Amino acid sequence: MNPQVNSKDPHEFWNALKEGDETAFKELYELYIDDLYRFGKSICQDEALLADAIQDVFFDLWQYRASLSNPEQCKYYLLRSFSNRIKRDLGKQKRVKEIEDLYALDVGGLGKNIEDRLIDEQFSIEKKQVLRKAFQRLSLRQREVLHLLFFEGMSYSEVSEHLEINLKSTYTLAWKALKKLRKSLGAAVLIMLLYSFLIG
Amino acid sequence: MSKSNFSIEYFASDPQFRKWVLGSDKENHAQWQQFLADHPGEIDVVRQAIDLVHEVESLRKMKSHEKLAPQKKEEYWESILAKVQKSDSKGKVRIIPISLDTVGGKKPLRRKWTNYRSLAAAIAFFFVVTGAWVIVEFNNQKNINDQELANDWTINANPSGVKSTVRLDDGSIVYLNSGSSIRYVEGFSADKREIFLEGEAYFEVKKDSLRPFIVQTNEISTTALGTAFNIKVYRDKKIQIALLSGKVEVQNHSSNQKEVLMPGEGVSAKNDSWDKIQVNEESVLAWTNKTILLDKATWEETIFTLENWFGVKIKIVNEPPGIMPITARYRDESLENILNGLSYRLGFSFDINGKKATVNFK
Repeated sequence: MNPQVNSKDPHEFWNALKEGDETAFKELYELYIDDLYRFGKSICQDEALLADAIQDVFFDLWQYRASLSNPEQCKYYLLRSFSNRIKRDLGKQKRVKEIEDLYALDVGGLGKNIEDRLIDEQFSIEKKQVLRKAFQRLSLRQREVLHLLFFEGMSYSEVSEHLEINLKSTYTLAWKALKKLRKSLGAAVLIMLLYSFLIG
Repeated sequence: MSKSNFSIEYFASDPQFRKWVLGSDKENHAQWQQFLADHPGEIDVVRQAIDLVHEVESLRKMKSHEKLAPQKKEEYWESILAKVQKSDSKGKVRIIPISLDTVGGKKPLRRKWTNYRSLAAAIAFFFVVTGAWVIVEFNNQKNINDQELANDWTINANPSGVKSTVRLDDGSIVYLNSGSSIRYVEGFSADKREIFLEGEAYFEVKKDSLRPFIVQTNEISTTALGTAFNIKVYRDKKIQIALLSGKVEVQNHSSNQKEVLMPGEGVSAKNDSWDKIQVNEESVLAWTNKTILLDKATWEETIFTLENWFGVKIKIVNEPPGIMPITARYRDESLENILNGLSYRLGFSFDINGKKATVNFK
C-alpha cells in the first residue's frame, strides 16, 4: 500500500535504532507515521490527544530502544503501543465515552440495497458522510477491531495479539462491530433519504 | 428476518468471503458459486454480506486518503527530537562513546567534560573509591533492606570505553566513567538519596539537608549533604575516597570505622585496612577531562586502565618480569599513540585490530 515499505526493510532500521542510530529512528517515523495517524483517527477524534500520543510512542521508542524486542512486524508493534497510549490518555481524561455519547440515538437496523441507490456524484459525497458517521457510532474497541482487520489487513490472530484477547473473542468482537456498522448504516441511510426527500 | 442458518456478519467477517467479494481471489469463485447453489436460502444473506463488505471497503478507501499534513509531520518530529534531547541531557540514555573515536585515531568529539572541570573546581566534593566487584555485589545485596527490595531499581551501566552523564531526579548529576554502573531507586526515598556504585563516578550533589546523599560502595558508605564528589570502584582494587571540597562522612559498616573528610583528604581502604590519604584534585579529576593519568602505576594497572578507557582487550605476549612503574599523562590521545609512546620506553611491538590489541615483548 505504501510504496516506501517495499523498498526499505523496516527490520534493518529497527536494529539500527536499537544501536542508537538516529537516522533509522527518523526512517521508522517516516515509514509509519501515516499508518499510525490513520489508526489513531479511527479510534479517536481528538487531534490534540493523537498528536501527543504519536509523539509519546516515538519518544518511548527512542528512550527504550536498547531493550526493544524484535517484533515480526515493526508496524504492528507501533500500532499496539500507540493504541495502548491512546486508551490510557483517553482514560486519563475520562473521555472514554467521547463520540459514542454524541451519536447515542439508537436506531434499529433497517434498509439495505443502498449500493443501488447511491449512484450519482452528489450522493457519493453524502455516502461518505453516512459511512463516516456510522463508523463513528461504533465503540472504540469495535472501531479498533475493524480498522486492524479490514483497513490494516491484519489476520484475526494478529488482532487477537494486539488486543490481548483470545481468538474467539476477537471473532466475536469483529462480528459485533460489523453488525453494529450495518445497523448504523441502515439507520443513517434512512435518515439521509428522509432528509433529502424533505429538502427535495 | 431471514430463516438463514448464517448471519450477514458470518460471511462479512470471513477473510475468504471478503477476498472473493473484493475480487482478489478468483480461485474460490467456483467454490462460492457452489455454496450458493447448495444453499439457495442464503442468497439474500450473502447479498447483504456482499453489500457490507463493500461498505467496509469504501471506508478503507476513504481512510487511505487520511494523512497527516506534512507540516504537522515535521512539527511532531521536531518536538519528538526536542523531548529526546531533553531527556538525553537528563542522562537516562546519554552515552558518550569516547573510545570509538580515539581508537580509530580520529579526533574525539568535544564533550562537555570541560564544563565539569570548572564546576568541579568551584564545588569539588570528591571521592575516589576503588574496590572489588564481587565484594560490591555481595555487600550491596546485604545492604538492600526490605523496603528497597520492593522498589524498582534504575540501573545506569557503561561498558568499557563508554562514559555517560546521568541527571538524577533531585537535580544531582553523576558523571559515570567507563566500565561503571550506578543503581538507585527513581525519585529516591523520603529520608535519603541512596546510590550504589561500581566503578568510578563523579557526583555533583544538589543540596537537600533533609535527604542526605549516600553512595554505597562495598562495606563503605559515603554521605554528603550537598555538593559535588567523585567515586571510583573497580574490581580487585583498593577503595579510594577523595574529597576536594565540602564535607563528607565515610563509614565502614563492617569495621565501624568512620572518618569525616575535609577538602584535600581521602581514604584508601581494602578489607580491614583503612588509610587516610592526601588527594590531588588534578589527578582525581583527570578522567572527567579526557585525561589518563598514570602515577607510578604498575604494568597491570596500566593495561587495566587502557582496556577500560578504550573498551579494548589487550593481549600481552612474552611479558618480562619486573616492569618499572609507569608515570604518564595522556590527554585526549588515541590508544595507538599511547602504546606507541610506551613501546619505545618498554621495548615492545604492538598491533591494534578493531577492539583487540596485542603487545609483544619478543
